[in-house]
Amino acid sequence: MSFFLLIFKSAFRNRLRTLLTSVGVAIAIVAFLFLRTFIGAWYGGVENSASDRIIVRNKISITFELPLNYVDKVRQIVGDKGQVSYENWFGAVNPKDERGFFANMAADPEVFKMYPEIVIPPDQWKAYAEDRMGAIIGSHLAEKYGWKVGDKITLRGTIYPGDYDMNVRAIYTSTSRAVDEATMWFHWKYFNERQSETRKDHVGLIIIKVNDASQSTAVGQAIDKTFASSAAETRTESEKQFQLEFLSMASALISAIQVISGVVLVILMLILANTLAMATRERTTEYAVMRAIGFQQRHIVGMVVGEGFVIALTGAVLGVALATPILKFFAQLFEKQMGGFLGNFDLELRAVVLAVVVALALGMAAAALPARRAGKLKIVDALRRVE
Amino acid sequence: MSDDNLEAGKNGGVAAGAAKKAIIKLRGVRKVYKRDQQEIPVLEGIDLDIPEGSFEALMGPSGSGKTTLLNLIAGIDNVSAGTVEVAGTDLTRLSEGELATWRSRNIGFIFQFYNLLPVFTAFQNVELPLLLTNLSKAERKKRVETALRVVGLEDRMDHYPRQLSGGQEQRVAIARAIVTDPTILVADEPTGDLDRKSAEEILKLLDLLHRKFNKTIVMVTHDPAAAQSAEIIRRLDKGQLLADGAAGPFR
Ligand SMILES: Nc1ncnc2c1ncn2[C@@H]1O[C@H](COP(=O)(O)OP(=O)(O)OP(=O)(O)O)[C@@H](O)[C@H]1O
Ligand SMILES: [Mg+2]
Repeated sequence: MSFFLLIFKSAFRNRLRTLLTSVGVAIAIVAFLFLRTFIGAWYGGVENSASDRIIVRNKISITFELPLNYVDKVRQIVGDKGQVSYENWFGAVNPKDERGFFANMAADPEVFKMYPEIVIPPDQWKAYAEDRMGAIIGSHLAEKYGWKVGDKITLRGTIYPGDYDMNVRAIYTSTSRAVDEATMWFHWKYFNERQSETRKDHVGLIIIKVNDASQSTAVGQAIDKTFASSAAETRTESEKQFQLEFLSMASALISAIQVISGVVLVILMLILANTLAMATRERTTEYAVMRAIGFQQRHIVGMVVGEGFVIALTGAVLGVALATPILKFFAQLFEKQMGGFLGNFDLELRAVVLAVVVALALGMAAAALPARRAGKLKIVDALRRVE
Repeated sequence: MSDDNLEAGKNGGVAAGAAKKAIIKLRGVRKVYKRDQQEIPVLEGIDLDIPEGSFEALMGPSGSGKTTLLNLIAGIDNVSAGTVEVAGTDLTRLSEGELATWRSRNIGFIFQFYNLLPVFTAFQNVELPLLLTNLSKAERKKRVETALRVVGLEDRMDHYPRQLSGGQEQRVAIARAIVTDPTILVADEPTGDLDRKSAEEILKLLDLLHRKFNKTIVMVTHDPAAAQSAEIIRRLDKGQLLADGAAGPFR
């Protein structure tokens, strides 16, 4: 017999109730881990972004373009400090899967020099370079739609309406999390040909890879200053900033998920508080007996808090055990349905530790009120209350 | 000495136990409960001396304040006025925490409904008060076994309360009360929930603790037969102690 046994036996006294509470906690933990992992995966690419790449775009918004002649002007400003290239977010879909999302860009061939993490077999690269209607696709995308090198495919434009026929010429893999394996690139020239006179010769993004990453800020400032009072002002930022901004288009969604993950924790705490309140109320007479025998208020408080801890721990262990296979299942599902966009949907140790620590802390916090009430009870009144 | 003065009034207790030092000494004790502005007096002008090693019964009609008086003596309730000195300590001067510590060393509690913790075995229930001491596990075990032997339940150590009869449960509760070897035992209707035979066993046990182990016992009871086990019977009525209780027949 020890204080630990005292707490443990109390916690598992009403086994069904404790079990149900633990399952409730476990489900909350699974939900919490799912949402944290979702957010983590969402921003996954950002954390791995390169610091030597900077991106020039229209100051008004990402959806506005820049005149093609800006590219040359930017080249002049950058000089021998780095390389310059450009691309357009094409935003088309596979007509056979109109709701399926994947990133597709109309790119100047120089773009690939900026992304050493993109690996393309040399013969495939050659085939791509030589085919005006060629396309390069990521290995995940190839798997998703069953596309192979040599296939003729059609994309349906949404931002730039019309059907665009292309030939798959290369399949790339990526060596870094900064670049997913579910994107498609095709020739900017082909894209430009298809645009109406008014829309022709406009680029979405100008990409610069500076030789010395510490120069990034200075180069960016010089560019923005040059176009400061022109018809299309620019905004130049690091790849990381840019990606964050791009993702922030979905920031309301992410904020909502953040809030929900907080709400899940509040629910977890209320489940625990409810159970502890019931359990301690039932034991009023026993606490009074213990206090009469000589136990101090702090002993009683400690017992109730300890009970909250034990139940939360049981739930947390159960939750983590359940989360592992469940998240694995969703990782495969997302991989299939969303390509690499939610790549890295892996349960991170950091999230697990956070969930367990938070659950334990909330377990003890949930015990605060019941513990206080149990500690403060008047012995004589509680003893009078005969069952 | 006025041993034969049956009209000793409120100080009767002093007379009865004058030969021995009073271990429980109440002076001018008053207890009122406040309920929405109104004061309800429960005990009034109680002067009481209980000598060390005596076995006393407290009788009186329901609502006369017996439990309240016992609670004051045991240090789980506070007086409204007056002083309570028990085992050499003025209880009215102690804080909650100090009172708890004091109780753990000086008082053994026996309740009408035994109040054992249902999830623990007889052994664990008896061991409970020892968790507050620095005794080693081995020492605790020895003490628990001794206490259970005294109440005759050494063979029921691993039984849970629900596996015991009412009389056995009360004996476990008594073992729990004596395991720390307190000088004073307080019992509020310890036989109130038991059949005659079990009640007699409990009373015999209390008598043994009183005579062989020299415990001071204060027992509240409704049952005149039970009260006969005590050396002295005191009567409360409407919050006042009546004239010295006639001593029960000495055996
Ligand atoms: N917390 C309280 N608030 C108000 N009145 C109380 C409280 N506790 C006890 N009383 C009153 O004090 C009086 C004495 O109660 P007490 O329990 O001491 O009587 P008792 O002699 O033990 O009675 P019984 O034989 O029924 O157990 C009763 O009138 C009771 O209603
Ligand atoms: Mg009573």
